[in-house]
Amino acid sequence: MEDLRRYLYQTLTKVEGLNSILISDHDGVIVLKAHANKSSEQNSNYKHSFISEFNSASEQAGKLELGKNKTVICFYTNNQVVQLNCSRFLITFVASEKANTGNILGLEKVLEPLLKDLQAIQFP
Amino acid sequence: MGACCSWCKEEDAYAAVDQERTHLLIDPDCNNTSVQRGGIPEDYHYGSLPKESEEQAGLNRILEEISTNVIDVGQLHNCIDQQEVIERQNLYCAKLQIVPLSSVANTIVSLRQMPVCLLKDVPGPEKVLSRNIGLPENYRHIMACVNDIQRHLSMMSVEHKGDLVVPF
Repeated sequence: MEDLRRYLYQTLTKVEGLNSILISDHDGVIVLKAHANKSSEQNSNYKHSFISEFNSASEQAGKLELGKNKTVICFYTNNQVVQLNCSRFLITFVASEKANTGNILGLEKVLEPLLKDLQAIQFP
Repeated sequence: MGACCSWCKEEDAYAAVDQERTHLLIDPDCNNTSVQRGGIPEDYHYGSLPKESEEQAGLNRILEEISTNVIDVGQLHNCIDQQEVIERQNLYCAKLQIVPLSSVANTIVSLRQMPVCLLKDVPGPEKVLSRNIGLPENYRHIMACVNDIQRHLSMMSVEHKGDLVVPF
């Protein structure tokens, strides 16, 4: 598990301004997470309902005849939240507002091996 | 709350992949977030006569399709209770302790090495540009040379030798 956390943390450090990466199920229950520092950890104690809102919003957005929705990017006053739908998992990136959103989206490819390992887990 | 209606013509295109509502747990205790989709009644047997008239069945099917395709803003507020969240987190944590790391173990070394690239993204370039950088050691020498050049340029004069424009 430490290796998974370390991998996630190393991925986090690849983009400047990225504060947290949260991997959760589609109900917003955290499976794995990494934070850049203590303050970002304290700031990102989101309710699972906040994370799972993506799930509902994505599902409804998929009905707009624009194809299946995959990513939701939200900009708030001080930070941005990028959420990706990766099969059984939901990846949430929390970054500062000036962080490069394109680079954050590019981390999906970096996280592929991690997700591959997580996919292998047989949840009862 | 408003509701919009949309027809999804390619609804089978993603049938094979996991949907937004796919659970990690095969039989989670809490199913209150799952989409209630109607279907064939449980007591229906293929080959037997349908209980409802064909017209009624057709209407039901249309109703199902509409309810599936309606953009329901009220659906945005689904959540599971805190107790289940804690239980699931503990379960995930226990599972992660024994996960075999094949892909991550092979990649973790290469991840430490920064990729070789000519261009690198610099978020917030004003910070870098406004940084007080140290001047190069030969800065004084460069400035002395520039001053010397300027002095020589100011001393340059043109000596008249003849008309520049002459008649043919």
